[in-house]
Amino acid sequence: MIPVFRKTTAEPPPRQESGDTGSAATVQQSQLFATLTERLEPEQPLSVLDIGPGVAATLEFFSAYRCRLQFADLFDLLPMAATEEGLTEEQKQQQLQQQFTEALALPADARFDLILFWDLFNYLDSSALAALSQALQPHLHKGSRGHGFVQRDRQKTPPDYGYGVRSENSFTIKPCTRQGLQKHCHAQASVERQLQGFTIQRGVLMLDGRLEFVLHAC
Amino acid sequence: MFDKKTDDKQSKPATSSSQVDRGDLAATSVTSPARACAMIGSTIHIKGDISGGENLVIDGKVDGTIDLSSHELSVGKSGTVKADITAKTVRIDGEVQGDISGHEKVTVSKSGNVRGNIVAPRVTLEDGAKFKGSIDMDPGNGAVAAPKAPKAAEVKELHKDNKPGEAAKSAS
Repeated sequence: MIPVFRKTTAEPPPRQESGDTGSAATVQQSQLFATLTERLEPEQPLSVLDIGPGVAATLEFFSAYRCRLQFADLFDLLPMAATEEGLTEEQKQQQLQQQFTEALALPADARFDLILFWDLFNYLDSSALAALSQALQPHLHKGSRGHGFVQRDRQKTPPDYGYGVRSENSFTIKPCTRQGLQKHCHAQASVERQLQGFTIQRGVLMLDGRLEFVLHAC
Repeated sequence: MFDKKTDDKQSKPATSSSQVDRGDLAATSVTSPARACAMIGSTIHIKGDISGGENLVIDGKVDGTIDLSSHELSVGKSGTVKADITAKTVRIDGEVQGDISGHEKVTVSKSGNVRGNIVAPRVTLEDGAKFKGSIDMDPGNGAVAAPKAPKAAEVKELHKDNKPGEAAKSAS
């Protein structure tokens, strides 16, 4: 399957959620999330892994399904890096993978239908990205799908966001601070190269330099 | 050690009907028809298993297990619980590390911080709540079983363009 990459200007900028005067929650339209959710049926059991922290909106959205929803909250454990000295590159990579495996803390027999990678890759370099995908490998099946956002354009620096699903076509996003974390930009080809076990099925470049993408397990 | 909250302000004679097992300490049992719940105060630290036949509020620290299958448990803002919890309804304003089974409902409030797995027909995360773990909202999934891996043969049979949902389907 040839990945589809479309540059679009149709995506509207985030707008403020009506009635929210506090921490400026905004609504972010999504062009791709619906391509995943439209395939879901409420009576069909579903297993979802959200790499981020537990969010009320996401829980509410998936409560419409017979769902097991796992929040891994990896942001709390970043940055991850091999700390021992004198290791070969291969050993460093293995150590990094082990750190992700422990951080994910998933049951050994867990398999996920959908994995949500919202903004996580922005805080991972190439080797960390590869280590994460290796740690996730045992929890994928051939029908596994992924959805995420990643910063692609180095010239633009949108704020850090916390995401929640608002509807099949939109997210609630709130600016948040993740101090002390180095940010990384990844092109679509780079993400695809590092993420073992996934191919990018579709990608949409957003106005603020983020890339929204859909992953298929391969 | 267990304070008692009462609906009316009249003190009533205590008689035995409820039980709180707490490790090496003797069970405390006090009854009042007007009692709303038992309470573990903020300076109390309990190591052991707690079970009982009335609602419980925890403002202190508990390490062990908590079983209030037919009653409500509330972990207050100052409460710290390292325990697997079973109750009819559970509300968490403080910290919990352990698996939570709510027969009716589990609520993690905006000040709540939970690390563990939740199984309940209704789960509410209030805005600002911290949660890491799994939430099982499938009533037919049976307790806290993790999604099972598809067998090798089943994986081979899956179509290339399978829909999401296969993990759970193949597990059932």
